Amino acid sequence: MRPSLRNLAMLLLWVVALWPLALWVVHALAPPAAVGAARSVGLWGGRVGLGALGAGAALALAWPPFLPRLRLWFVHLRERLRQDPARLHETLTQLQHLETAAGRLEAGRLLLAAGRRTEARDQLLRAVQLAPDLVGARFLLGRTLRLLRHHGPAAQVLADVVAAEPDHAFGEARMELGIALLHAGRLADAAQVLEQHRADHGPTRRNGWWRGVLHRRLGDRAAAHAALREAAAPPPPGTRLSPRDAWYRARARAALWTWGRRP
Amino acid sequence: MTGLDQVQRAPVVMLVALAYVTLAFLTDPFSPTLAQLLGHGALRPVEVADGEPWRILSHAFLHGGILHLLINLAVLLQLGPLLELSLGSPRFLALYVVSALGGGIAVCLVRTPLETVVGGSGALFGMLGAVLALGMRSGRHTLQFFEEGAGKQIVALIAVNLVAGWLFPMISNTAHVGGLVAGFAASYWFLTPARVRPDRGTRALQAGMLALLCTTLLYALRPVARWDWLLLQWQATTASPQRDQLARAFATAWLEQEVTAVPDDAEMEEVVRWLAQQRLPE
Repeated sequence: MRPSLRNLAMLLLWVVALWPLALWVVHALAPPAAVGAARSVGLWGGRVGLGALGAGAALALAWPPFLPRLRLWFVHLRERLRQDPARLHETLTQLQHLETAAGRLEAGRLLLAAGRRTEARDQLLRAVQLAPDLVGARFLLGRTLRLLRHHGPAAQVLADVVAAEPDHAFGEARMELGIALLHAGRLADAAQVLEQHRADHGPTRRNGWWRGVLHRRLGDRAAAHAALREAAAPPPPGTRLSPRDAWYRARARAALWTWGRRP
Repeated sequence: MTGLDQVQRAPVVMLVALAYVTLAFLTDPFSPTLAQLLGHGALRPVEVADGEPWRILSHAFLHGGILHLLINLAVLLQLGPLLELSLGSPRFLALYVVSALGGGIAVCLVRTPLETVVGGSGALFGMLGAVLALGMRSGRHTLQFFEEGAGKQIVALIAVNLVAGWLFPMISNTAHVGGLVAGFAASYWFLTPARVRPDRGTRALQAGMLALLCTTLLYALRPVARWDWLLLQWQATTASPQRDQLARAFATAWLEQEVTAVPDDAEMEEVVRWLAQQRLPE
């Protein structure tokens, strides 16, 4: 669970735990007000619950990628729950006695998988400091920086990775570089990287979506639509898209609608 | 395992089973009356709020008939010894008590004040929650237990029992859910050894859960927004402005019972008499 979600859950727990105390204080001041407060909370709790359901349904209708996004969120949640906390604990404990680049890389990888991005960044930075030629650590550092929205430094790190190993992580490094460059505002460089990725690894839904976004920002409407159509193409019969592909396809379909042309 | 071994290895389970049977014979093992059950500690939120807090726990040792008793005894004797051996007797006792409290508190907070609840099933659901928690804690990761047959069987068992509770109105699913949640939370965050040292977030979570247990338990004893407690307070109060305030609060809480205006003293007395009749054992 992300720290923000965890904090929200904790806040809710404490609010519920302290609610009876608040009612006793209100009762001491004015008994009818305590009854009114309890009734209002019950009433509004039900309304908020129903409202959230209704809002979810309305959102799913108004913005179809909502359901694929929800599916992707559940997949990420499941992946985080499937992390073994003991391995992270052991790795961090070992690092207190013997610091190695491989240990820092492993800790960074596990922290990133657990959604603890800031801590992962620190571990990966240390891994790169200890072994500058460790391409895997640089790649994960670049991805972490991108996820933390430090797009400029992320692009710099990922460019080094692609320079050292153009096909690192089956093209994932180049894809990440393209996205980082796009968000950093270096659109021409991003276009070159994403086109190269498409040439090397074939059209993927993720690549199609980001090229669509890129061309839209460059003002090339026809190229944007062509890229989005690639991302929004129906899957072959009998195949089920992965959650991530379904998410990019749904976004591409919605973008083709909202940007003026249906697929 | 022979009977004597059972007593030696799982003394708490045997004591709880003994309490089930003893109380069944003290009331009536086949079809106890409401008066017998209330006389021996059945849970009724109005009685709890009127100064009988032990009912939140004592109801978990009483049963409403021979079938109820036999089913709960069978589950206790099947599941209990394994859990007691895994957790140790003091922890198992704590688990049983917390689960029973969870079920009792849930009934006091959610159900109507005059509803009577008996049975150890809330605590037994807490034991099922503990099995889930133990399984989730013992794997390499949290979800590993559900990838195995045992995890799926426990989930199916819980689901089937909850559906049965939903289908049959004489079963209190509120107590089941309360016990399940309390048993799971107590086992997952307090009783089972974590493989990593608890961080600040986990300790804050534990503190929050303890606070929730305490405040909800105290609220069950002093439910300031519930009509029956307000009525009892009105009856016990003589000072005029405070009496009026309590009458007004009672009327607001009683609105769901089709009272539309603040009742005067005569009407309140009538409701007090009515409540007293409702609470009289058969």
